[in-house]
Amino acid sequence: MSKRTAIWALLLMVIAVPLMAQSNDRVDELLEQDVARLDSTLYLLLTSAQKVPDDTDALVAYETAVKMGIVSSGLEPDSPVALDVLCFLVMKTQSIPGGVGWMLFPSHRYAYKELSFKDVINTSAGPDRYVSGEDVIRTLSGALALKEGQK
Amino acid sequence: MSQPNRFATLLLAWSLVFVPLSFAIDFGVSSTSSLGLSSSADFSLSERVDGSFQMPFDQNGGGLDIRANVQTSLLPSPASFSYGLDTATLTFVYQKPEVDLLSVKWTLGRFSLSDPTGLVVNHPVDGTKLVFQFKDAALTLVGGYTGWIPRASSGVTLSLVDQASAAEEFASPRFIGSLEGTTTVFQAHALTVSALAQQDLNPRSSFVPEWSTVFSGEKGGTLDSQYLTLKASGPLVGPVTYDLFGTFGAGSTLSWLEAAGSSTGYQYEYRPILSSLVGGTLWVSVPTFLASTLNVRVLAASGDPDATSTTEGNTEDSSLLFLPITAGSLGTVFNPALSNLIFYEIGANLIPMDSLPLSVDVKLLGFQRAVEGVVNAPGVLRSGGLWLGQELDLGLNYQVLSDLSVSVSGGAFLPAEGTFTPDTPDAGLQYALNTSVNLSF
Repeated sequence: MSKRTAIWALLLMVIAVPLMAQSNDRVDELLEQDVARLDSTLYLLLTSAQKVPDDTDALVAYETAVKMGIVSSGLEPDSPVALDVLCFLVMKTQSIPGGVGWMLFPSHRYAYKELSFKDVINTSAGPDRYVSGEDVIRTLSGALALKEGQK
Repeated sequence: MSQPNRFATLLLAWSLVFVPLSFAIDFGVSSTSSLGLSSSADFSLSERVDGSFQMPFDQNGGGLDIRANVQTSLLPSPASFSYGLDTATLTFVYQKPEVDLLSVKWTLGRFSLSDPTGLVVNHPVDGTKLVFQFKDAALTLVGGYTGWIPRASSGVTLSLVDQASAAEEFASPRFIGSLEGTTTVFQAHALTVSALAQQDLNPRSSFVPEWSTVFSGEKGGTLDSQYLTLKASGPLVGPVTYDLFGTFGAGSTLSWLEAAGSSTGYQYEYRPILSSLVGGTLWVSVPTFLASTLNVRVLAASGDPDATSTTEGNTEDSSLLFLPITAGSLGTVFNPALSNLIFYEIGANLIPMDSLPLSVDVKLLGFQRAVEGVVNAPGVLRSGGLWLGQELDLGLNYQVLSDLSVSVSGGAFLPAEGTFTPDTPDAGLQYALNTSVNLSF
């Protein structure tokens, strides 16, 4: 089974129906990114959380995230995504509950610690490493599986 | 250049060199509040705050690591306060892309020094550590000094001079050095050989001179010791893993011996220590039964039937009593040092429900003298029988949130007849219960 097929199988198994309505092109585009772009990442996360329609584009997803206050307007849409930033975006968009640190100080640091504690992410290279498109999908899958298990 | 300007210049220079080299700076604070009750004391209430700061220089383990703590005990009164610097290290790693030597790691500062078993010494030192990492082996060279460690953080009480200095601010001054080699054999078994030595650096004026014929119950001599350890660990069969070790302990201790030419009939002489500590543990993983891990452990530390005390009590040509540099932790209630002791443990760690973040530890412990004679535990009679007693320990840990946990632990120790003075509180059932809440940011 090729790697791309495996990733799609992972999406099929874990992610809820709304995600399946997303543009296949958008997801393929993200999968091809060795360093994930911020706008592509936000497209996946926000459509998964049904905060933007699935027929929107990555730029609209980015602008929505800026309006929501989860992304700084100083970051360009094509900015690379660090692991701790990804953790923060996943927890915020998917409304993943966290510990006392996350409740009091919802930040990249505590999002990274939370998903690290729950074994959703690989922390061997630290929170500053840039993630790939594949990393984004795996992290979202893990977080949604976690949320499903908490219901 | 004025003092403030010099400091600012140094700080700027340090920042220009090290901060750009730093990777993800991390820090943390952990607070632990504990409430305890035991048969030997009233309620205890304490609070401990640990702080940590890490600034990696690379992704190979190099960097700055600082950990400190502040503790306050509110009960029993009077309240007390203490603080300590647990770790303050600078580590540099040189990676050599060769087949034989993979990396060299050099650490400087305050760190914890322990032997391969963790039972002979586990103590903070100020010193240096060099680790040569090969493909299937590692060589570690450590040297450290204990005399700048706060006494409240130290468990070194080897000699009468150490006991007499119990109220001093800093720990017993000793140099500890070790050379340890680890390799993998038969593909899965780890083999470790370690040579460790500690040298007593207490001032000579504190000691009773050798050949003195006048007995002193409070003053003693210098106590140097050396330890050679061989340890093996790995898979045994199926879900069973093992851990097996043997330690030979040597050294010299000031002894009060019969002497024909002495005016008192006795004199002090330094005599060798020839002792041993052996032990083994078996673990069995049983994931289908409450995700449990079962373990059986036995430790045996040599004893000396002629010793009058566990602290410089030798009265024969050599001392057979094993002396660990620091005391370990065996039972929640009864916690003798590993001297003239055989320790038995059967334990289990269980996760009762998958849906609940609760883990349970249960242990049944047995304590026995290796030979008739002294045991290093307060109140234990020298004259008692071999069997000292048995203890049941229970521990629960509930992970409320990722950074908040609650623990409850307790134990009950039933001493054998003759272990303690009859008709005293210690001669009956002894118990301890402790509850703690930990919050880590």
